[in-house]
Amino acid sequence: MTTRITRTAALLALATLTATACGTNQPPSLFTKGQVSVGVKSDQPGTSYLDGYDFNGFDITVARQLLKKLGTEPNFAAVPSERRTTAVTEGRQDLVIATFSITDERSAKVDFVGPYATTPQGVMVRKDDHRIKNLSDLRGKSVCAWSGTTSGTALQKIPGLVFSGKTTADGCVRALENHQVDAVSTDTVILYGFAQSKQYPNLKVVPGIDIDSTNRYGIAMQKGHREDCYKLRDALRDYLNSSDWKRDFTTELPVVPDADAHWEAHYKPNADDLDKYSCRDKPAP
Amino acid sequence: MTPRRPPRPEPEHLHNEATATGDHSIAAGNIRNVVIRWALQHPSARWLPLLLACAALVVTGTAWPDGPASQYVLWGALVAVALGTAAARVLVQRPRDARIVATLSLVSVLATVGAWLAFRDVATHGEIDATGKITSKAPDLVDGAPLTLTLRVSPGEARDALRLTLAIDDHDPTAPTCRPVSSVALTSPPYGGAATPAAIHDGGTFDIPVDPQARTVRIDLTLHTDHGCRMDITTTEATLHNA
Repeated sequence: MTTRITRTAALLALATLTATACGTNQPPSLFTKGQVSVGVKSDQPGTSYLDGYDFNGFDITVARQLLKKLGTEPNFAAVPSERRTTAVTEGRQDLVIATFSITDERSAKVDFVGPYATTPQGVMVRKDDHRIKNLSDLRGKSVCAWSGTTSGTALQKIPGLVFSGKTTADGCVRALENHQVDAVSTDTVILYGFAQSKQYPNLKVVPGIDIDSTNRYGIAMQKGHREDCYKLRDALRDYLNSSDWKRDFTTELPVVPDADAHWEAHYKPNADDLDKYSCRDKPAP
Repeated sequence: MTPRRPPRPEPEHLHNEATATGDHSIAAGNIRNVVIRWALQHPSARWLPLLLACAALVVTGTAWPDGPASQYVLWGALVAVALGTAAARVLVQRPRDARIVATLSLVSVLATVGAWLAFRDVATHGEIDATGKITSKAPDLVDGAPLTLTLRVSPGEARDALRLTLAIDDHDPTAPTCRPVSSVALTSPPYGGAATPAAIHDGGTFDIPVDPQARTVRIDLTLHTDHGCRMDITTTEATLHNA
């Protein structure tokens, strides 16, 4: 009798365990750990820059703000542009917040939460160089972009432009300072970050040049964490709807409002667009 | 004196009395009786409903107008009944009751006729899949670019509306995505009233009135997207139907 009761209890326990295991298909939440590993850029002043031992810039502030809302903290690590996707897909970083534009190709591999910022693509030149005033002036000029970015792809579509590729942002900016190239082209939010830096006092962003379509920055995370993705999206929605976004943007990139009267229209995303781009295999209307 | 009663008719003529008058009607009645007897009793006749159903099925197959499967539900059900009862008629060789044979044959023939009528209704008024006949893709379009989709309509495909579903995709998947901000609007309605809706996003569907007499339908559209975006527009589904 006792044996039968023991066997029945064991079977019931096994069935309960099996049902529990089958029911919880979701991986453990990224945000229940004390820290979340976040891949960021280290060579882009204004947006994401390693200054001594501290990361700073708008991307860094966004990461801190959103993770604080979710009750956790970021643990930053530098990620080169061309490894932003694999840093997430191979599990080296939980999130990547690194001026990472949302594209169809990337959305198929990682989940994005965004946009947390939007930006046109522009051109930066030396302050004493007045040859480039509009898009057609780029014909015959040597223009640098770094690998793993959407900017490089867009530049190569412009006829007559001499494309010069480098592996890092720093490589392009040094090439411009050293007169090896005539201009650097990437997202204007990044260019303004360089132009406002005390490290690069001889550089300026050419106003009014708008190359290709608007870039929308997203926070990348591994697919399969949709619940976390929705939590992060909702945190971003709150952030965009509050005055914090404007305060943080103008603190990190004060030169942008000075240079562009319509800067909010160009750089601040609409919170209503979050559902179109976030937590999807393919951005959709 | 009691008057003579008229002679009683012969028993074999009783069957025709209600409708028949004259020698020809008697002959027709006899032929019908012979046919019915043959249909119920002759070994070859049991194949007749199945042959009829199969023949109708072959003819419908040659004139199949395509379109969504849902519109063929009634036809399919009737074909199933026709074939089922016809097959049963073949299998039931020596029934205890002749009425079983008669019922199976009758139901099979009626279902075949019903299936044929249902098929003709779909062929005349049903939906026609025109996806393969309309312009399939317009690649690399910028904001404000016009595009014209052309559809050639055969005389038997005359319908008064076209349901058109379009995909609006980034031309370059490595460029920043523009899909959520892109839409396609109908430049002008090709015939009669306005299309619904007036504009669609990726995966959206227009319902556009078209001239049922026209052999070539032209749909003029305009792409609306952000500056710098380059989009591909693909027809994913086109269905001619009656509104």
